[in-house]
Amino acid sequence: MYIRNGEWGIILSIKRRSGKANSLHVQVIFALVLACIIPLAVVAVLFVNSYREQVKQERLSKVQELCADFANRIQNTGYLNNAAQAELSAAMDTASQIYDGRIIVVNSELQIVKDTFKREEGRTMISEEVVRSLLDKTVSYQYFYEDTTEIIYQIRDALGKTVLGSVIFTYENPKQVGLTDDISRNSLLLTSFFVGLALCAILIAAAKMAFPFKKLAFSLRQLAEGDLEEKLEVSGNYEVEEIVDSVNYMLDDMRNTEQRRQEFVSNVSHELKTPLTSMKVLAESLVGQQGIPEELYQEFLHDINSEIDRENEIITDLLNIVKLDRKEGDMQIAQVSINELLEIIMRRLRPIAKERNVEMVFESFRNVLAEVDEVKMSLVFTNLIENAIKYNKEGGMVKVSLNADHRYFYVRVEDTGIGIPEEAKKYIFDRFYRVDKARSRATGGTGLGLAITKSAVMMHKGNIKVSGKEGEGSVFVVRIPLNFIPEYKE
Amino acid sequence: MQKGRQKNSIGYVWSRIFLLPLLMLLLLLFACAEEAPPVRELITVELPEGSTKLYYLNEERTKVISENYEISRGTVEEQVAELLTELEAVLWTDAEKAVLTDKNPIYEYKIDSAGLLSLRFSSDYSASSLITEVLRRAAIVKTLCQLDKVTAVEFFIGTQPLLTSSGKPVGVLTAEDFIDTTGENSEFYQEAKVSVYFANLEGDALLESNLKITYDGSLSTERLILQQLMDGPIMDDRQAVIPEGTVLNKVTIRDGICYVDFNEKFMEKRKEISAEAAIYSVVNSLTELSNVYRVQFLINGSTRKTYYNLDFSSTFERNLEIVEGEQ
Repeated sequence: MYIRNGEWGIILSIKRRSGKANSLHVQVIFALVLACIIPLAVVAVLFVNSYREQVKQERLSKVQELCADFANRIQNTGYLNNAAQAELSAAMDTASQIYDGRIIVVNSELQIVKDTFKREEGRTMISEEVVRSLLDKTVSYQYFYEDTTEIIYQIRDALGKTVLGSVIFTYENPKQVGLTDDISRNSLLLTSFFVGLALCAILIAAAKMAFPFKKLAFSLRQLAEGDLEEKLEVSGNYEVEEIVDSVNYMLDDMRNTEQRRQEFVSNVSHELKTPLTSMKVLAESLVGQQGIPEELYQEFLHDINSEIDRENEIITDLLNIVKLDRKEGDMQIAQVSINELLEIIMRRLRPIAKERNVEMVFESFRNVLAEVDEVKMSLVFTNLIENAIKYNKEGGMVKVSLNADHRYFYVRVEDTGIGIPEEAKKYIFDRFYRVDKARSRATGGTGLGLAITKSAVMMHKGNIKVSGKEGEGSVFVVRIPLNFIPEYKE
Repeated sequence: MQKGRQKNSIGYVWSRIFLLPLLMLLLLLFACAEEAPPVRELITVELPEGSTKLYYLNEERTKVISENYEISRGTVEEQVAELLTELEAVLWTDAEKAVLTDKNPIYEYKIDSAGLLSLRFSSDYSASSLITEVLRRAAIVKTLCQLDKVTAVEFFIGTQPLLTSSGKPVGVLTAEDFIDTTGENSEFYQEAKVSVYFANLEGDALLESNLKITYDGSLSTERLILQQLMDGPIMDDRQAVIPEGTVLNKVTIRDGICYVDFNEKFMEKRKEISAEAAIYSVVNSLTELSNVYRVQFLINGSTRKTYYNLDFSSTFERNLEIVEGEQ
């Protein structure tokens, strides 16, 4: 019952997008029907036909035997000279009736000695076939016509040399097998039985094949309606299980993303609150107090100002990153001279470098013109070079090199700073990640810089790599395609 | 809405899956099946009016062939002479004729008032091969009997009647004495004279019809008779008896009883015909044959108990009372 319902359920709910014809269930049934039932039918028909051939052959050899036998007896009894032999005559009459045919016996002068039609005895047979049978050496001839077959068998003397006459046996060919004949009926019955059996088996097999997919659809829907914490569990066939694995992998990914989102939100609120807390503390300590010296006011207000700047920076960065999260439709692609871009950035950052006594070197191997979003690229390099300066040693160096091949351009930012520990290298591009929390606060920064950088690089379909030893410095290499590769829209 | 849609999908799905193969299955079966066995045809030969044929032998001397021949007008003797000259030229080679003292195989002929033509071969004529002689005789007889005034031919060698190899005289020969019924495509035809009985227009009595049928000789006389009965009469004053669609499965004669096997359709008697007329039409027609005294009916191989109000399980004898105007 269960299977029947399931299968009806499958058939009945075949609808929607691609229509019934595209259903796996239907296709399987169709294919199996073609593969099983058609051959069955063909075999049945062939069998019935080969039966007719077989009957034909059997009849031929039987009649041939009879002719040989009669020829023998005719020779033995001298029938050609004296045909008044009841037994042999009767035997030939019976034989001709059984096969619905006619036996004629002629002697060496072509005279008809016996005719089972009882009509032409005494007359002369001048058919060419009979004449030949008396003249040629072949003992037996067979002639096949549409409705009849004819066997002409020589009657030879005891030594087998002289031809004394011939026996001519003409008989009806077996009829075409009709639909109502026993053999047809039996064949049809048998075929129908097997066809019925095959149909049942096909329906069950097809339902079994299609059922796991139905279960999968059902489970997915349940999953969507429920919570995404559960894992998908559907078994059935290998293909369905592959799908299940992929779905689970996708769910994992989604869960991770969800987790990171939650983390991000919590981080954001934390980061946004921190400057406000500081400001609150500073302000509160001023409020409701009498006789505070002006220098103290100035100091506190200065600190509050810094915190406000900080908050601004954080919010700007957040906005940037949120913008970068949106789809690539926001890219303003244009031909940009990377050399110029880098020079501008480095000029802008010179004051900061000077402050820390850091030397800046720009090495350009060629003129690079690329299709990029200028603003975003600017963000990328500014961030990298600024980091290189900030995390550098006093009197250190920052080296920026630009190169290109026929597909990409490469920007290498090397510094002689504090470097990045090995374990941290895989996390530095994560949002809000900071290698050393304490020091970052001192140098400023929101922890979003490299995340923004990586996003922007990815939007150009490029990539960014970091290397270098802790304590000695870091090297960042950015690779961007020269020609912008747009996203393919589905 | 759901229900209606479901109904549609079932029908659509089933028809798409199953109709096609089922159709193919049925088609295959039907293509190789035949409901009724092929009906034997009588080959009737149209005799071309007024053309005479000259019969002679093929090169291998294995068969008798013919060609058209324009015979000149004249007396029958003149025509016979003309034909004989032609036949002699064509049936014997010069070499064969050279060994004869007379150079011509046939040296004399005579035709009597009854139309019997006597042909004499020269006394030193000796037959070459038996078969060739027989075929030559056939050619001569078939050619000469075309003339109206010639009814039969008798052969002599010198003054002695021609004998067969077993010593019996060949006797008087007509064209009907030579038959060629084996094989399929032949111009050979035979004439059969049969008497059959059809029903009168009221359907309660039988009328005798004497038929002359020209055919290829490959059917037995009893089958010929039944075929004529099934074909129906040509004349307007009588009607067919055997129901349409009746098929003769088999007819055999054994010990004076003729067993006639029809298919089921025979049991559906024509409405206009009485049961007696239906039965005795067949019985009287068949008992016209000298070797048939009684008739046994079978339907698809087995006997039936009754045919309408008549006992159908035993044999029938000839019934002359049902024949109209019987003397």
